[in-house]
Amino acid sequence: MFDFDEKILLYPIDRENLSIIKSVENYQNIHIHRLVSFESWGHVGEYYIINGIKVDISYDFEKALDDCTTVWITNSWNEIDFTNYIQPAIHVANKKGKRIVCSRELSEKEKILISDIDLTYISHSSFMPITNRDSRVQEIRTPIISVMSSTEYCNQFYIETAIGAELRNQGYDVLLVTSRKEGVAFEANTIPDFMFSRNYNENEKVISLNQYIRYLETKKQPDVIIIGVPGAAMPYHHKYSSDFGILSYEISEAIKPDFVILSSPCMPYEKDFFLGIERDLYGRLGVTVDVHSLSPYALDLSESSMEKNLSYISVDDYYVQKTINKIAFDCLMNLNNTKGISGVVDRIINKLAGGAGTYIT
Amino acid sequence: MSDSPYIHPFKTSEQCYFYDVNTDKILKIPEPVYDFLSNQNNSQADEATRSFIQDLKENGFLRTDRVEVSEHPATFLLPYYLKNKMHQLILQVTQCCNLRCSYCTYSGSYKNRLHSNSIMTIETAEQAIDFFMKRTKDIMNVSVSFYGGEPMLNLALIKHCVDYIKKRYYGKSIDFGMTTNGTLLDVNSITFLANNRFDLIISLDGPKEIHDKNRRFAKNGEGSFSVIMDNIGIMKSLYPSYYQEYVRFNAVSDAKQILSCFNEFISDEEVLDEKKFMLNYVTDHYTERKIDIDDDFFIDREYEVFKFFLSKMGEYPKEKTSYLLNSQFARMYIHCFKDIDIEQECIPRKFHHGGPCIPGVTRLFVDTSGRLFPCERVSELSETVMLGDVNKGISLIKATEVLNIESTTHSKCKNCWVYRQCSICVARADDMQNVSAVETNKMCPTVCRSMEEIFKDYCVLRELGYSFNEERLQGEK
Repeated sequence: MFDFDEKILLYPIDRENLSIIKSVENYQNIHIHRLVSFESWGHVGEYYIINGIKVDISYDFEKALDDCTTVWITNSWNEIDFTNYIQPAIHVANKKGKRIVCSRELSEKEKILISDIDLTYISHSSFMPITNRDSRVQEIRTPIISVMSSTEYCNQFYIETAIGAELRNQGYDVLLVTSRKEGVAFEANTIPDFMFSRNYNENEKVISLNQYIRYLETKKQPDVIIIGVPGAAMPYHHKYSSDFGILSYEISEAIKPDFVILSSPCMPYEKDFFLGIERDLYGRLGVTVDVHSLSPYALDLSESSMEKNLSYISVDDYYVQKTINKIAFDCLMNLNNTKGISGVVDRIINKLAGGAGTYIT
Repeated sequence: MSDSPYIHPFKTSEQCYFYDVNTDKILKIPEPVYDFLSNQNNSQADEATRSFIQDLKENGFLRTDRVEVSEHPATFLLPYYLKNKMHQLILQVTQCCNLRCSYCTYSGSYKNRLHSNSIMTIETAEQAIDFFMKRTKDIMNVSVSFYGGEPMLNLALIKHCVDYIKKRYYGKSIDFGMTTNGTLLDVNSITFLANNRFDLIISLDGPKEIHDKNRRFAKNGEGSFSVIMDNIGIMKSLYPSYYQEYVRFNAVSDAKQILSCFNEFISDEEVLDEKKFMLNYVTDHYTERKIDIDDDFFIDREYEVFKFFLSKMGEYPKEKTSYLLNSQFARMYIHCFKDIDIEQECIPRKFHHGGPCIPGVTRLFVDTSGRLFPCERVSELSETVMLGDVNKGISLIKATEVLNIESTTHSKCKNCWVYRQCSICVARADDMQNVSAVETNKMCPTVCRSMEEIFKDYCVLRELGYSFNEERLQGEK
């Protein structure tokens, strides 16, 4: 997707793409050179250390563009007018001869408005789904690590890519199938597009996903497969049901993971919360959670109740660690930093390399 | 933990009820059960009553759980709320006013500042805006409101602020708002307000004879009613859509004039619309002065409430009821009409009564000199409620104290049945030096009485067949 010498400007920055920025820390081939946001979004002035270099989040798009080769237009949590803020940026970048990559969800109308521009769209991996009724789910022999979330904003994408990078560093051959389409930028595969399509029924999706993973397994012969499960693993609360965990159910029928990580919002849970969620997940999906993590977002319960939709507050790593220390649950780790990732990879290797049945060599 | 169930029994003229604090529900009960629960005299309970009580207990009611540790649920995350989730900025652009309303909190009758010529500078305003906007990371839609004195006396600053925000802080949904006495509106200012879709609240206490009794010009003591009505007429004719959607009125009652005259006033005046009015009473915060309620006012108000409820039942024409009671009816929904999907087993062990908002987060009030307060209703002279300033920021210690006012009264609060519904915040609990148990306790009887009346009214309406539901609530809004 990106050449080694490409200097990338990521725009517009808010919570929707912070996970991507953090993930880049582990991937030498992606050079995020500039980060641009809006002053009103509250991120201008923050910074990230990317490949050892401090990159500030600024607000001046044109100035940041000057020393970049490529613009990556991303999704955002904040709603923004396309014609006033995205389209002009694309035109400016195009005029200055920059390569433009777009992972932002655009409507057909918006795509028409920029149809004269040479753009690379990032989308979910494509695979021809199987609609043959006689097809069956086949066994995947390679160990599978499944990364799931209780809700949105659980830093899942970072966990998937960071574990993948750490395992590679330790010499393992990793097949990474990310929950988000931006995984393509990290030379990974993604959950294929048909899983999000209404044109296929649940049976077809389950069989086809299984076949997709089998196909990749055969082609790439990895030591381990990491699968990021999009959406919520199951309804967090009956009032906030998201997609009811339907996608995670379909995925659980297609592949049986050997190690499961579940990330949840950072709240002062009792241990019973984790035991309860493990029980529920086992009942719904037949999976056993090996490790829990807490994300750098807490739930704003009061606002969630008023808005009838989950609402979040950004917290920092200090708060996450403090909360984890207080809960003191053995299976609960802080997977938002390299130390935590290193720790969970040790557990993964211990389990998958030591157990009977499927194992990594 | 107390041994007695955490409940409050009450009666209407037809039925008996109790409010179960742990489950936050109102239940209808037979009279013998009511007598038993009111008197807690076990020996007088017959078999049927004991069986009923047992059933209630088995279904999770009549629990004795109380809050053991007083701590507001937002305390743990307060630093992050203050850093990332501020909702509304209120800028006091001037302390000057062209009216001298007799009940004004700045009139000298209250423990608060007086009218002055102090105005906010451009630098302070920009600093306050920058301070606020940097702390809205986790909010998609925020509000910036302008306050006074009379904010229109510093319209130039307001225009500058709007311009500054639009130039620098584009990309986020920002609503502008203002509370004004309405006397200084002209074509230019109305155009500015309409173009920027200001949520406008105009103070209008009622028909001329009522409004002019209290709201008079400083320069000559004359009433302001005619000027305001002319300005409203101009606004409505120039920008009818804006007027319809964004303009509301706040009527302040001194508990002397009767409500029933208001309807005639609204229907007589072409420019007014009944849906737009809110009613508030002269405040008794920060004053030793007693607000006397005239007997005539009381009788009239209760009669208006009675007619209002009849109209809800379809038994009386709505247009003959007081429009000012709509917002009060909405309170009934807030306190009584609960989402039945929320199953509460018991009140949390660590909790706080329902009064305080999150200071600096729900609202951040900035005075002319850049000092920070939790809202515009606190006394600007009180160190208790001053959270900090735009240079140094908000003191976390101060914000935590203002959030956790129950710390001074927990031993009493934890047994109070209005725990969840309490409306006492720091503005009520402030004695100008500290969060005060004495000041809080002064308010408690009023809060309890008021809540019981709301519960009773709610139950009576239900008895008469009124159906509370979400759609109706939206309609009421």
